[in-house]
Amino acid sequence: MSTSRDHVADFGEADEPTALDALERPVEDQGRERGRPQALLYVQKLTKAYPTNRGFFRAPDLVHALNGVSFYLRHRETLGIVGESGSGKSTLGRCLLRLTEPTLGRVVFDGNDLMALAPAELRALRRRMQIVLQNPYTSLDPYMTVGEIVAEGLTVFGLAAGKKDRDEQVLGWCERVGLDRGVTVRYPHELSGGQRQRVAIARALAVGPDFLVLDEPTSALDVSVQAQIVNLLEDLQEQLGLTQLFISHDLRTVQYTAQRIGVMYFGKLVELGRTADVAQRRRHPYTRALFEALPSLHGPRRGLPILRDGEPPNPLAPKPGCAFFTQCPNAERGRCDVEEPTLQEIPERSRHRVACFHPFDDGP
Amino acid sequence: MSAPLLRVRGLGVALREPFGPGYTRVLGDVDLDVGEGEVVALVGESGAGKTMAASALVRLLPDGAKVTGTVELDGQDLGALDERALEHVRGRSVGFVFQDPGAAMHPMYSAGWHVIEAVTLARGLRGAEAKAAAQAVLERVGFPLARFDAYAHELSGGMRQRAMIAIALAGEPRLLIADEPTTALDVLAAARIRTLLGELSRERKLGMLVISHDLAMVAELADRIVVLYAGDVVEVGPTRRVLDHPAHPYTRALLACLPPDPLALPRDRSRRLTVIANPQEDPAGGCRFSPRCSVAALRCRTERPALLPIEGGSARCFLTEGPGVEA
Repeated sequence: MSTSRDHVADFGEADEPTALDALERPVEDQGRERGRPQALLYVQKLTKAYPTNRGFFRAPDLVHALNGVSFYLRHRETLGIVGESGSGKSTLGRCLLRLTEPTLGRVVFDGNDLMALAPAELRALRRRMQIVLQNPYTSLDPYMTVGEIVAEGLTVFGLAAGKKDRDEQVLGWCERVGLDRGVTVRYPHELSGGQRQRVAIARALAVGPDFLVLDEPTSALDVSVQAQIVNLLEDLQEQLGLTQLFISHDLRTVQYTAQRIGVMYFGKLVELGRTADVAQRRRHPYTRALFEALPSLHGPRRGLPILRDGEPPNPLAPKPGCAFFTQCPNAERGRCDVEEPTLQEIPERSRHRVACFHPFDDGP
Repeated sequence: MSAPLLRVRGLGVALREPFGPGYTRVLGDVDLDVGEGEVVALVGESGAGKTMAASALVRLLPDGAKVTGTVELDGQDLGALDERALEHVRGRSVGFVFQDPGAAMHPMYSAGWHVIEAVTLARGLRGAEAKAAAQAVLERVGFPLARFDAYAHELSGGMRQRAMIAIALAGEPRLLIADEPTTALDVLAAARIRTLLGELSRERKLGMLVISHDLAMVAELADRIVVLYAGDVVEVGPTRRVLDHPAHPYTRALLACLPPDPLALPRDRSRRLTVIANPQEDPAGGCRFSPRCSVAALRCRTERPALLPIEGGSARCFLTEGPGVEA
């Protein structure tokens, strides 16, 4: 079926400046033309704007939920996306699968430009790109049994040879995600939150995807269950060679499970790099504030990060310059409120990018 | 030492079963003290009885609930009060902050209106006086007065929570009960609300009962921690002792489930998160945590442990009996 699992890119800690880095720069026709694509997913300047209702007689304005986001995802990599509510994390995840139609930009999945695909082609490709949502209470059909929920994708994509084969596959997936065989005849409301999330994972994996968008997969769960789901996702990723986009506001979980982290603010990526670089170095003032606002379990209390108390940006009335200007402790008047910083590689630190004119120096 | 502001002894709650004559135990035998200016955290997972305990303090319970035990606020037995007198306690002596401030505010009235209403009801102020008092309390909680006339849907989560805290403070209460006050908020807004609650507790000598599932949040705010499991208090102690040297196996397991601190060193990728075994049926006899406990002994499965003093608090576990056990 899929060939992408056969050429797994190495993402060891080596800092090789590879052609992959070029993927985040505007390069035309990345992908098939270069032979085998090195990244499974390549996203360029992805933008989603919604029209606003300004009243009957006025033309609608545009609100940018997602504004020119570019990055790549290597095979078998987990990229964590963090940010506060309204930063565009979920919109990003949905636009990648074209569940929400992006306004501008490109998504290249394993050499296929998703924006150029006909509906039937996109449908076929969707088998390889699945999503798991935050709330398993609402993302599972209450009138379907667990068995039916997991089997649906197999039927839709014609992946089962007859009923017997389908039932066997369903049982196999239930077992793999840690559910008892007995649950296949149960309904979602009879299950606990953790079990329901396992069903959602089984449903997504049953059709054999290469790429999984996980949108807050653990946020609705109790702490002890969160740990189970995180471990399960890591096991499955390793066994199946999955590539994951892990969207969460929970910095602890993301930094635990992701190899790279992208920090979103106001519809943009403001910092992107390996987990150790982003979490420990925290170059962008927003990243720094976000991580340092996290309560600490052990050791001295952290209190509040240092921020200026300006009004947070208003999406209905965006101002020129950096969106974080009003709160940024490093802001330079005349530059940061005029010019908009773009995601730039930090000199001597390949693969660590920051969109800031005055990032913090190395090390906290 | 003088009597604590809030003194709870043997608080138990049983709810009527929806069909049938029986009762279901949701909370059994909770002892709890909150001193003046002290922040006590009630932690546990969903279903542990955290919110039920807080509601039972002022008897905001579903119909047919059976409550046992005594609750004393400032030496006054709340159990002896009738509904009218209790209403006087709620909102005046005791303020409430809930997880979802949007749902606690009327969508068709402004934030300022809510605070004026609270000031009017609790302190009998009227007109300009009420407005001035409302503005004063909003100012203290860091709510911008320019947004006085804004409606709940026009405010960010953090601002709504500030308005909610202002409403709770309007009656100048002695005790504030905050149920998951930062859970619905973003990281930065949560940090600001957490800091604000700490300041208020110190400057007003306000006793505070904070209910949360988030141990790290509690670490920054609380003086003492009370851990609930299946309706029982399983561990009590000063915050640092409970988090750094947890005595009860449940507390230990809960802490071990958390991914390490993002500001600490990078992850050792060979290690995985610790998990707690799935919940089981409540055992008929024996410790309620024993089916999930990794160190349970034979005795734990047959005999119910009592909450016993240990060094730096108390714990409900046979294995911590005797002199203090270091985790």
